[in-house]
Amino acid sequence: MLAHAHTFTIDGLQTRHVRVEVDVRRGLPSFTIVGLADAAVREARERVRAAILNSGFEFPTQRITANLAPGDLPKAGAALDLALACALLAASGQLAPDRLQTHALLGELGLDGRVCPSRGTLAVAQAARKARLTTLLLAGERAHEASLVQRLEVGVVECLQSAVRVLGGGRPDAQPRSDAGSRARRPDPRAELDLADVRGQPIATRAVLIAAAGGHNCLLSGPPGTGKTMLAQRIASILPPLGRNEAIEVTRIHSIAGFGGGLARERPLRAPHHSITLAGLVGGAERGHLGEVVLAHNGVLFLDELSEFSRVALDGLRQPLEDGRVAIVRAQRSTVYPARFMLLAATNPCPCGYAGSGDLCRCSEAELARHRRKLSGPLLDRIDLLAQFEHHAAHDPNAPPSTSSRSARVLVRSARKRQAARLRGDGVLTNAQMDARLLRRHVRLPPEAEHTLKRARERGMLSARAQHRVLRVARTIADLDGRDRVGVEDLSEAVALRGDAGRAGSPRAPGRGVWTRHA
Amino acid sequence: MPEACRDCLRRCWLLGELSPVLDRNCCADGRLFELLALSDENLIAALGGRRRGELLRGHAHFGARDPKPEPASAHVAICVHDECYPEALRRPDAPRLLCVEGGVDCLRALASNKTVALLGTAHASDYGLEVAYELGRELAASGVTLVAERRAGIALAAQRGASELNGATVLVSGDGLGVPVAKTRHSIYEQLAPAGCTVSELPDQARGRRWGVAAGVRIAAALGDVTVTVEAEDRAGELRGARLAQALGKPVAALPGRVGSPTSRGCHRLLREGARLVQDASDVLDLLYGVDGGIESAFRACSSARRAPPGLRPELRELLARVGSGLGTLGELTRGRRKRAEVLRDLTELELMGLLTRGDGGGYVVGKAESMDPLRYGADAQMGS
Repeated sequence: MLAHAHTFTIDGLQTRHVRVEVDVRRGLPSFTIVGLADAAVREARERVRAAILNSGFEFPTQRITANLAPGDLPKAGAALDLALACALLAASGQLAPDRLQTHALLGELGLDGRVCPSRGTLAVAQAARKARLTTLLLAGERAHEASLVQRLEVGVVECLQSAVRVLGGGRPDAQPRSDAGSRARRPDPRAELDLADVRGQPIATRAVLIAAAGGHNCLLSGPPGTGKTMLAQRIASILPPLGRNEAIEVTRIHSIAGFGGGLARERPLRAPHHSITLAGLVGGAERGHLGEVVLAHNGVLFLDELSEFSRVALDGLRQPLEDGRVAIVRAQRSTVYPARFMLLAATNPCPCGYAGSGDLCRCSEAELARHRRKLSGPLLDRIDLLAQFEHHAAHDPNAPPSTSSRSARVLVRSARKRQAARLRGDGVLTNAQMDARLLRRHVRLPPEAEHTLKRARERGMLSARAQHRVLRVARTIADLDGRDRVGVEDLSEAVALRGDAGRAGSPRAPGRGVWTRHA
Repeated sequence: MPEACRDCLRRCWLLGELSPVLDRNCCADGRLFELLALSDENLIAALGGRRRGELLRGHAHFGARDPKPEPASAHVAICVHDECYPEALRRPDAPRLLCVEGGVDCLRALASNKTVALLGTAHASDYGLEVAYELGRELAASGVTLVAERRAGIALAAQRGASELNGATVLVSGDGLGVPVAKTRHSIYEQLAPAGCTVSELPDQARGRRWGVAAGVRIAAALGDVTVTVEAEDRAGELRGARLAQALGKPVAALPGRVGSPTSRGCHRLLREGARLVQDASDVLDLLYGVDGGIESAFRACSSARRAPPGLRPELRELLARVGSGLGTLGELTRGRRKRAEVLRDLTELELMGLLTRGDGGGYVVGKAESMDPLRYGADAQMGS
């Protein structure tokens, strides 16, 4: 007898609809699974057999063939177990097959028949809705993610017996708990860090404020121990919360990556260690592996000790920084991931950390050259703001705080609101995402500012891309100050704060001489 | 134009005539300078030998027979009686007549500034050449006048360094100024021309005189407020400048070299005897101005402001001076200032003019003089004013 059930498998960020067909007929007892199943799926035979028997059902001692259609799509993971078991029960006549046509099943089975949660619940729920299925049955733990999808019934089933009961017309074990407030009640530990803790670095704080307001990339540069990491950790406290659509995108990604459930409210802050590889950073290490840039989508990617990262890994950031997406192409498949994040990087200006602060630098020419090579020009050209930290002597740890997270958050939120109002209908949310066409439309410079920009261009200070970046930052500065038009002051501040970021990590020569040499 | 008096011209003539004898006497340390301190008559008596009578006659009738001893040339001769004569040189064994190429006013201006004599061997190692170049360059950037011999080796490397920043340099030639310079070095002396001058005490066409080189070191040591020996072998001839400066009671400094290197033995001897150790230009500036950084930074500020083009707004000029005094980061430059936005705007303006560039770690530093294009400058300065 033949029966089939619907489930989904995850490939990168995509979900693929899988029809599990089971055929039970006379013959030597066997259980074969066909359809490009990976090792985890092939092992499902043992799990399904034990779960069916331990749940009090009968496992047919006949020839069983399970086909995972479409046959050319590789399937991975254990989440197909539940669908396989239910299709098998229907094929052996222990379950009425009609509800299997409208229900999607997702979950791994334990040997005792309990249903375990699996990754990517939200993505599967979205796909189930798209495939016009009415109900999704899954384990309780991640069910609230699925409930974010409208017009899809979500039933919680704790074990195989419950699933059979629901498919026979019974009630599910529970309704998924509502997600509203589930994470809001838990205070995020990051939110307790306050910008007011950073003292005596007004310019750096200002640069980070601008970066947060417009979603610009920012490089924190300064001697060791001056508070770069401290400031970076506090950026989460001033970023605006995620919008509904952004939150769904983030939750979908994090759900597929297997992170804690619930609708994301805070922007993700990813801070990988500097030993990360290229594949770890942009993805593609193995099938469906998500890189840090994808996990930081709609949030912040913080690279501490930028110069210690491998050059290859850093150069892998170029495409995502420019396009907001990363296209991974391997021999068998190609995938495009969203990766629109704000890059926050911290570095010392040279290996010893003291270049540019008087005579303290003790680096040799060779060390400086190596440091310079590490940070490639094209990467630094994509960085909009340089937050320069003061050396200890100039930096007063007892100075009054230049701002607090609370007031900064208000400024950032109102600036973002202005941007959103202006960019409504353009498909982007922040100034940093504006392309050349939007820049022309939204950033009109007065003649004086045009002249300044022209001179900067003619002096070779700004590349074409750098000009666009300066204009975006100038737009954000005007937004922060609540002005509709970008003035020459905004442009000057943007140029000054750009800090020649393209050369910031590349001291030309040791600053130990009386006069810094310029080659 | 100052004119040298007849007595001093005659002295110059006499030294030219006695050159071969002086050459023989310049090996013994100190002997040459005792001879040069003698009066004309005593000099003839001491060195004239068989030519004594001839020289005395020539000396007596000097002006009458040869009314125009110096042919017309690009240089000017000044004598000790001239008020333009550098004060530092006025000593008993001082050259009576000084030929100056590049203008007497220039010499006076340069000599009245703080001066550093950079001395060293003509057969320098690569290391010596490199540090001499660096030192010359950094000192020139700090606005110090450099005194060096006009010869190969350390002196030439130091001049190259200084000329890169268009630094003020006084060269002391061991030959007469009428002698053409070796073609290989022509370009470097050409570069020095606008900012420096060359002096010599030898007659116009004298060349290849050993005593001329020794006498040149004496002038350099006397002109320098500090004498720095960059690289020298452990021989009296190579350490002559340092010994003379010691005798004059001026600070003597030396750069250390590799322990096994023969070309640094002389420097090591000086250091063992108590010369100040120099690692870079800041050590030399410490000797010149004392260790108080305030004076130093004030000096640097003023030297950076001096490079500012005329017609620059006072705020911009002040900001440039602040950057010149060593403040580089935005935080330092905006602390306790007017509105931050104005400072940022002014900084961008200065950067657009090329007066400021970014240095280590993205901080501001004063731009290189050569990068300032005078044509653009005019337009920019008008914009800024």
